[in-house]
Amino acid sequence: MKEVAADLIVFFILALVSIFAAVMVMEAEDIFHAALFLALLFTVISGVYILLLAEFIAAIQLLVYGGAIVVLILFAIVLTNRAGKVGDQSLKNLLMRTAAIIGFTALLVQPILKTPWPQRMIETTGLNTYAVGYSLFTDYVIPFEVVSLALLSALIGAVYLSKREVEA
Amino acid sequence: MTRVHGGLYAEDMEQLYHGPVPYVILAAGAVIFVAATAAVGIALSFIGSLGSTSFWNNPWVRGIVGAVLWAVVVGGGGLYLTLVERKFMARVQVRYGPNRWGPYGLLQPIADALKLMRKEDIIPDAADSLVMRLAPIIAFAPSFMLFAAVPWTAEYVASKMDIGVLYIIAVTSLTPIGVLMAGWGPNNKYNLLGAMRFAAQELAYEVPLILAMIGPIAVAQSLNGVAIVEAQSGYWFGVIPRWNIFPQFFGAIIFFVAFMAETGRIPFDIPDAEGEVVHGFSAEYSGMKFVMLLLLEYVHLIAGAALFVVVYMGGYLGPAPLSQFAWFTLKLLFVILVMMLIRAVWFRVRIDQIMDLGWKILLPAALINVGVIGVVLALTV
Repeated sequence: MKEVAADLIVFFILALVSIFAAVMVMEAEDIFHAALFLALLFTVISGVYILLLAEFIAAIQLLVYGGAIVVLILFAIVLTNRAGKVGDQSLKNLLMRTAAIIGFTALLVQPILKTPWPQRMIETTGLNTYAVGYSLFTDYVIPFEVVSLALLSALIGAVYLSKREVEA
Repeated sequence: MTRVHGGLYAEDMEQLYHGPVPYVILAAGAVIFVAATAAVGIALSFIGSLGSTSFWNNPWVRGIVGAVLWAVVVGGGGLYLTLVERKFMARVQVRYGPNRWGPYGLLQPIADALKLMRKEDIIPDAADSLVMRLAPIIAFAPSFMLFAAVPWTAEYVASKMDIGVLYIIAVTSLTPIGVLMAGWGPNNKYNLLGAMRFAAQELAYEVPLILAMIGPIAVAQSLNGVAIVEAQSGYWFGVIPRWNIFPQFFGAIIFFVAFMAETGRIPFDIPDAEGEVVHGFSAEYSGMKFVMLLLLEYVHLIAGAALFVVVYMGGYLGPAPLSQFAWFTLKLLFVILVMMLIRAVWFRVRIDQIMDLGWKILLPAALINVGVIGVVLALTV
């Protein structure tokens, strides 16, 4: 019982920080700050994965989203001119943002209520990483290869597009 | 005016003991590092040690002891590595090196640290002050967190987590965020250029680094640091230890070059090339913040060397008279000294050469290495 309580406390801390970070990604007036809040959001979400005993996913989340994607976004921002504080603070904009958030939340209400959430923690064998690797290379080997092929074609496409721009 | 060793004046020495602010900052910093590592160690060893009861397997004990141990090693080691490096490089280059402050210059790092702590902590007017203040911490903390998964001996590992080396790679990949913050925050072109160079270099060499680790991981069939070390136990023909460095020599070279580039030291020190970008992303920093960005290089050095020892040089394994603890420390020092030797005799290479080496040579070589190891393992195991 005690462990469940500790889990809940940690989860609520992580949830509050992640909601705060997600809101600040939208609300930060400096685009560099928004990207940093994005990094915080990804890091906190990897903490949620650890809480779910999915440590492999947590590490990958940190590596791919926190490490690679945020660094690329920051790199792109650093290459631009310093824009300073931007953002439309008018009432109309505020109303539109609020409406968008309420609308999106309303869309999510139905799935949240319909999903049969597990009532207790799933038991783990302690070999999560092994299990992920095993099923990736047996049951899901074809989807895995298809996804890597799609990523490869995206990569080649990006190289082709940037090359063509240089020639023109 | 009485002159004492090392160019410091007696009046200066007196001033060192007034003004408590630097010590408060130092103490707070130490507490933050220890707490961060302890938190990660505790969190992750809950996963690793479910159901075990012995004292050392208690996650709290393991996490806190591991954090304090590594805090001492990395803090003190980082401080004294500066002296070791200066003395060692001086001997290689037929000079004396620091020799004024204490016997054989042994107190030099402490004098340096006190001097840097006394410096005024400047935040420029046009700076993004919060980003600038946070940057050294965010750049420094991940390099420190990764020690939670480095096995010192089979028992002294802060967290026996299942994903050991993957966790190390994952937290290391957060360092460029802090460095880019240090580049953006002070609103200085040199900081920005240095940070961009650092991030580009980290991105280029991270991929070969990870790919070079796949060989030993495949041999051990585990991501756990202890398991990777244990897979290297035993001898060939009774003499040659079964370390990964012998069969996977090319992988070891790729790994070594890649982590040398990640530490950003000569010959890969274009992020803080003094002649080009005026010490790069730490140009605008002073005082303790500068110390943290400076020590980043040494923490990276210890971390990379520790990882190399674990993955390729049999970690804590070694013949009986010496303990596991001693073997790990000796191997760590050996790898660090090799890197210092390279720094002492080499020169800085150009940025385009570094990018070429990373993307066009090391990356294909690492991919081929992974393929060959895969085929060999499939045929033999």
